[in-house]
Amino acid sequence: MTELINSLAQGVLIGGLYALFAAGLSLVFGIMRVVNLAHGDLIVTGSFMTFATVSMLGLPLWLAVLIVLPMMGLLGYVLQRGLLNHTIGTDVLPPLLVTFGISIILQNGLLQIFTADNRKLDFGAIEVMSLQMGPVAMGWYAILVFAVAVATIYGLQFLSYRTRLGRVLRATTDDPEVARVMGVRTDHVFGIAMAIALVICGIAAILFAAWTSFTPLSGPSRLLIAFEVVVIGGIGSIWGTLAGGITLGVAQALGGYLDPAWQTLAGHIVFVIILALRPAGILGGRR
Amino acid sequence: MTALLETRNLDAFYGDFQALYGVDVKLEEGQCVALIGPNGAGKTTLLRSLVGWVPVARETVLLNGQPIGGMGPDKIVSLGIASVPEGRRLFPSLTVDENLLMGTESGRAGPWTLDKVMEVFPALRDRRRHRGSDLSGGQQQMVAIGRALMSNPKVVLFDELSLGLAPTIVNDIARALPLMRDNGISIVLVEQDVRRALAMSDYAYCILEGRINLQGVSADLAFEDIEKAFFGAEA
Amino acid sequence: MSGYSITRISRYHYAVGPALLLVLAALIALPGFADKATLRLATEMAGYMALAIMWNLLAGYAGVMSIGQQAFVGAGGYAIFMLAGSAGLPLIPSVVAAGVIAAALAIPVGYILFRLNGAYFAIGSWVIAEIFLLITAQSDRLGAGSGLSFPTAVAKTFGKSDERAALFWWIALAVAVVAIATAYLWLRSSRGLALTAMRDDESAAAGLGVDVVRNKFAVFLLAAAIAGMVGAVLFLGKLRISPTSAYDINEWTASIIFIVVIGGIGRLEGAIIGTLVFFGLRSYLADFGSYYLMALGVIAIVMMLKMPKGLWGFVYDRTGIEIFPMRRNIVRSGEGRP
Ligand SMILES: Nc1ncnc2c1ncn2[C@@H]1O[C@H](COP(=O)(O)OP(=O)(O)OP(=O)(O)O)[C@@H](O)[C@H]1O
Ligand SMILES: [Mg+2]
Repeated sequence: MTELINSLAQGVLIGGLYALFAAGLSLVFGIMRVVNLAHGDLIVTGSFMTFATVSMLGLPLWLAVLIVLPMMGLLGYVLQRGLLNHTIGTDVLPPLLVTFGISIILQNGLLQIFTADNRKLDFGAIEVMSLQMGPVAMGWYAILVFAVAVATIYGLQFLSYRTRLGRVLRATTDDPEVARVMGVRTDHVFGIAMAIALVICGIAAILFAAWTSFTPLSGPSRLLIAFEVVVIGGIGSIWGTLAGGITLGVAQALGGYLDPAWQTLAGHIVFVIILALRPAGILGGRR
Repeated sequence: MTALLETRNLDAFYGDFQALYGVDVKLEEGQCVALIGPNGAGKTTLLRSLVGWVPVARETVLLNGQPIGGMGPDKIVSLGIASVPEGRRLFPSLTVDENLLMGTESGRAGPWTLDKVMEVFPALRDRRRHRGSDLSGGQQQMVAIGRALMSNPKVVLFDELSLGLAPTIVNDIARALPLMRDNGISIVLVEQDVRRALAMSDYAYCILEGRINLQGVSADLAFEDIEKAFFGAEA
Repeated sequence: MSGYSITRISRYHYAVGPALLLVLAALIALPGFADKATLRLATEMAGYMALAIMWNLLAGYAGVMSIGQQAFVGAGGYAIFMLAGSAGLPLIPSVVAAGVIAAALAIPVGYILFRLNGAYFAIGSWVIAEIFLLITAQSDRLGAGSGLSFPTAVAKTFGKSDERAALFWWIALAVAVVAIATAYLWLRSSRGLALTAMRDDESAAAGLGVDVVRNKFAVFLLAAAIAGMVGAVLFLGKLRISPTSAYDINEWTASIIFIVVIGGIGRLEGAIIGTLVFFGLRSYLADFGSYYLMALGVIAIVMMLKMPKGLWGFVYDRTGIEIFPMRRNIVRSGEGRP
């Protein structure tokens, strides 16, 4: 019983991280109508950037954060303006295929640079410390990850609804054509949106790099998680991503509790069931 | 003397389909010009060409004599041409205030503020926190006009001001036009209701199948001539 | 107003039919003059071509963006190992049955996926393929994670190793021909015209409403059936199957997308050219490993941006040549054929 509660708690906490995976994907889809198939590989790229700065260059973690997040943002802006903006139109095929191409390039590029070895960051003592609450033990690192995730999502919510940039982003989401006649440079706004998405990916990438090990080929599984969370939480809903992330995390934890081999499968199956029963997501319809 | 806004031999295309053929229209400073014509004549296309929604050749649209044809819409609005698009097209997930503030994205300085828009359209006062999609048609039109004004324009292009609105509400909204002209704004007006269009404008152009086939000072145009123009020469 | 008729035929097309038959005859006779390695390569090419034809039909015409076709390839592969392998059923009916099983699986899958549109359909289809993989890897009867070997005793009943190669080639060729023929006939049928109309002009097809969804669903089932048969024959050739090879997205979907993009999306001929280019590149460059794959990614992106209609689209726009005529020429009667 304690074991079950522990793994459920773990599932809730990792749900925060999954929400971070999803938030960027959701943002980009909302504004550009592009599903970025390289999303997972970009997260893994962030993890490798952190790995390179911390483990290979030996820089302190806080400095790595200050390097990786801006680099991810820059990468997002450049990628969007240099490549993805040219694919946006009525046809969904070009952006899909171009991001698929980017995914393959990133995977193989990372393989060339970092080999196929398993990597993991070591954040030291915090990874093993845990908070005992009655029979339940929760790792401090997991709690920290969840807190960062909630704070990030809150920040994204604040940005969207309390700032000028957020207003412009939402207007562009609603109607990019009219936004342009209002004076919005949508190309630039798309670049900014991708930059924000990749900064969020970067936060998730750093946190996840110390959660489990990763390889250059870990991207697709991250993408699938992000995608499932977006669909479960309801497309376009910011807090929905948190609900979706927790749902998926708990489903995986339950599956894994029954049989370790069922962990991933349980997540997929919950996704399919929700898709079949509530196609608009669990917080369906709200934006 | 150069007109404020003018088209010269303007052609416009949707893919292979040509929607406008050699259109010449002129808007003088402080004027209100009406565009009338049957459905599908090309009125919206003409406005779209002016704001950069439809790609056209550079020298075919002139603002103060400077060629601006085919510039991006974001650039054109920053030069002072604002529009109230067909179907109003508010941003549905933004509140009234936020919709109005989108007008400021043009980056132009000027007298228009949220408070001033509320003075022109008092009906919006207690709706400021509502979403655009929660408003009545008339209120939406007011927001669309307010949004254009917030960009401090020299010219406002109206497409189908009265479409789908009750006559009393149209009168409420139309009161804004003289007010705008007092503030030095020139107006291009597309309107289905020919009598109303003539009453509100100084000069009118009649478009049929992408060509101007009648024009004149609004007060001098006879309704019968316009009717004839609507159905083409042979009719 | 009389005096117009619509035809798909222009003059050189009278030569196309006989030429195709000649090519087909030569391909059937291939085992007479090619060695075993060549036959194996040809078998693989035929399978890829069939998958590419179907993916082209899905994405290029029907607007169904599946990146989970590996689900059906893998299912077909496992089906043949169970039917012809474990149960010892006759080979050809087993291959057909593999296609039927894949199509049957596509019914519930499509039921769920068709709730998602556009790009969301794409990732959804991938999730489904992952579910297939994970379930297969859990199933002891299917050899769990390590997979199955085709029973040698059964394989021997198909003949000696080069006879087997010939037999598998003929099956693969038959599957490819069926894929091309059904795709072609489909596109020329009224349903196909509706699809093409939808691709060419959304508004013209907007009135087609619910019929469009059914039409897409039917193409999805057809593509699943072909994928199942391709999986069956290609894994027969390998005599081994495992979850990761059976449901490999890179092998069964990424390569196929590459083929279609290079050859020309929305053109049946594109799949054929694309297959030749892909195998050409692979035979020269595959030794470069990840650099080769990165190059494929770069080529695909550049093609998509600079030559979105692919090689065949490029050729077609300049020459108007079609092997499988889809274009409808308007012919004024009395003027004769153009
Ligand atoms: N996006 C488009 N693509 C192709 N053709 C278009 C498009 N928009 C308009 N057209 C065509 O261009 C022509 C002119 O249309 P336009 O919308 O300018 O007419 P209008 O005078 O504004 O008519 P209405 O009174 O119905 O608003 C019509 O024949 C129309 O079918
Ligand atoms: Mg119009």
